Amino acid sequence: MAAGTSEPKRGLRQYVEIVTGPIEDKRRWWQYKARMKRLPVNYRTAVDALQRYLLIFGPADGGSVTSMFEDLADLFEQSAANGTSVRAIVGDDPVEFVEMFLRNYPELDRQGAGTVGQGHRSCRGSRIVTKERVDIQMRVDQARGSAIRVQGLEKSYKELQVLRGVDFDVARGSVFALLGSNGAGKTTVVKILSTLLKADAGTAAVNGFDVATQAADVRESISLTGQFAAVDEILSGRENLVLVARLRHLENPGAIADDLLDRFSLTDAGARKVSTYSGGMRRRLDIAMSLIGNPSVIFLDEPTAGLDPEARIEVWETVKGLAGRGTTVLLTTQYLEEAEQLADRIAILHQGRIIVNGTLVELKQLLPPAKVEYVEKQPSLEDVFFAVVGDAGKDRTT
Amino acid sequence: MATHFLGDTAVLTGRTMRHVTRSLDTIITTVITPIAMMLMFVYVFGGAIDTGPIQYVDFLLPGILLITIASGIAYTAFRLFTDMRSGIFERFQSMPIARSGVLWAHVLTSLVANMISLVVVVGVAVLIGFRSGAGPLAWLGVAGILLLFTLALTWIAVIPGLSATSIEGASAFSYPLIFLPFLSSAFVPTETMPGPVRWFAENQPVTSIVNTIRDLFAGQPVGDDIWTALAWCVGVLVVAYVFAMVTYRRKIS
Repeated sequence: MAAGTSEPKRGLRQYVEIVTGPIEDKRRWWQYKARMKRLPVNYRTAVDALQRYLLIFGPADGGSVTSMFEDLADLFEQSAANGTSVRAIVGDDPVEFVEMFLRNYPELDRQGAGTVGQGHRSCRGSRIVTKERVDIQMRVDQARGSAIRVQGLEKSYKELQVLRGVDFDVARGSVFALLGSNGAGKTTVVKILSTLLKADAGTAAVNGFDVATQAADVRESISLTGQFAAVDEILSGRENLVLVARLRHLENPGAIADDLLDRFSLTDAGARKVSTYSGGMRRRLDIAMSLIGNPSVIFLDEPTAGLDPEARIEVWETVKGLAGRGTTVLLTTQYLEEAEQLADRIAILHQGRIIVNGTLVELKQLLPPAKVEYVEKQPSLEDVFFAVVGDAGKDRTT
Repeated sequence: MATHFLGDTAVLTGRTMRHVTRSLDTIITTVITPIAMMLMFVYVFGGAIDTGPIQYVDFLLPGILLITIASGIAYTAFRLFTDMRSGIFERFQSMPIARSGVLWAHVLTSLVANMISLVVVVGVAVLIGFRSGAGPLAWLGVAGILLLFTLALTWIAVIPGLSATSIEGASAFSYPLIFLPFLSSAFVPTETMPGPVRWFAENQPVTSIVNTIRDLFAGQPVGDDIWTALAWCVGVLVVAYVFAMVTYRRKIS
């Protein structure tokens, strides 16, 4: 049995235990929420939709609710035993899954229809009540649709027009690179998306929340890693992580910090003041701080600016790791190579507009056809660097 | 959001307090100038200044305390400026926390750091002969006025802290504030000053604050000076707070 399949099962077991208690108990609800964050997205959405259904209609008969979730737990356990994935059970449409599931519990649906009553049109049979369906659909859109949606964004600093109508969408769980030269407005876009700056015109939504009107929800969904490693130099690496964990109101900030130090190979340096760190270590700590609380969207503003080649590759590995975990990443960069290495989609920001937006392959098709030329290849400074450092490193270790 | 305000501010204050305790040199440089000035005035110039029946060090201390605060808040501006420049301010602002807690943490730290400096300066003054017949209530009054003065100057310090473009710019504003006590009743009685200077000295905030603290230390009844002093402190506080908030709003939007 794969390790990955036992994860949702455990999550669900805990969930079933929680849900059998009184649902009005706020603390339990938050505990549940915290656990949900660790589950795969489509599974989470399905269970979340069920939970919301129960919250709205209320479990009149605790027994049926319990059995419903126990059934669900069994379903997932079976799948874990068969080695099938969560996606195989939930499918691509969590709404459908919830509907299918509720079909087996008509008493819940009737009860729901009765509770909601006059104001809402309840569907016949085992269909979910309209309002609730819209509600679930909205959450599914949030889970499946764009993590970031930017439309007609404009921003000027006094006379200088930095953004002249920027549009782009970033799919959930993808890595999106905003490529542009210095002063192209990349940082301005990131600042608007992270609620640090207000746009003059246009709209922007992150995780389904409008950056202007739902700024607090946006901040709940994101993490910003700015252009300069925003770490506290006077504190130690560990203290920096603990600080962020406490500000995010998480339990066990110390354990979270130790875990991240370990993941980012900073355990040995953890107790040292950050002012003694190298540029690469600072960047790693910076990104580690951004991961606390598992935000669903991470902004990386020129994550490798000012780093030496070795540190740059370290950061690249980190970003690739993030993408693997299903986090949406928007990164800005001046280097095409970096975008190539990391991004699923690349948009080029030039003079305040997106002039190209596509996958690497699509971008390459825009280039004139390749010509064959014979050029003597001089080793680049980077090749020299790795030749010297790489060998020296091997000598010492072997 | 409001529910987290106290918790978030406490966490952030803990952070900035570590900045103070881990760079104790800032406390030392804050107190060294006022202490040097105090020693020089008491042992060099003081003999030539006629302060009537009271000891010169007793006469001088209130002014020295105000200078201590004025040089202490330069570090408040410095710390805030460093946060702005390093990007950690933006990191905090982009997190789901009570945003104003970031500023309040700096303000609270400024109050605590300045109180530590003041205690050190008073300690040195006691060593060189400062004595006070003030009762606990009078001491409390002195502490209260100093706290209020620190708070008012701290909000002034927030403005350059948020808006400066260089470290020098962030701390230069404190020089005139350090200089202000010289043009007051802090070092010499105002009666000896020529007309326009005397007029300025008698009508600027420092004189009323110095006189009030001096009376409290001497265990004498405070006159109308205390109301003038409080009015100045509160007035400066309100104006500085408003301007600081305007600067802050401009920075975060």
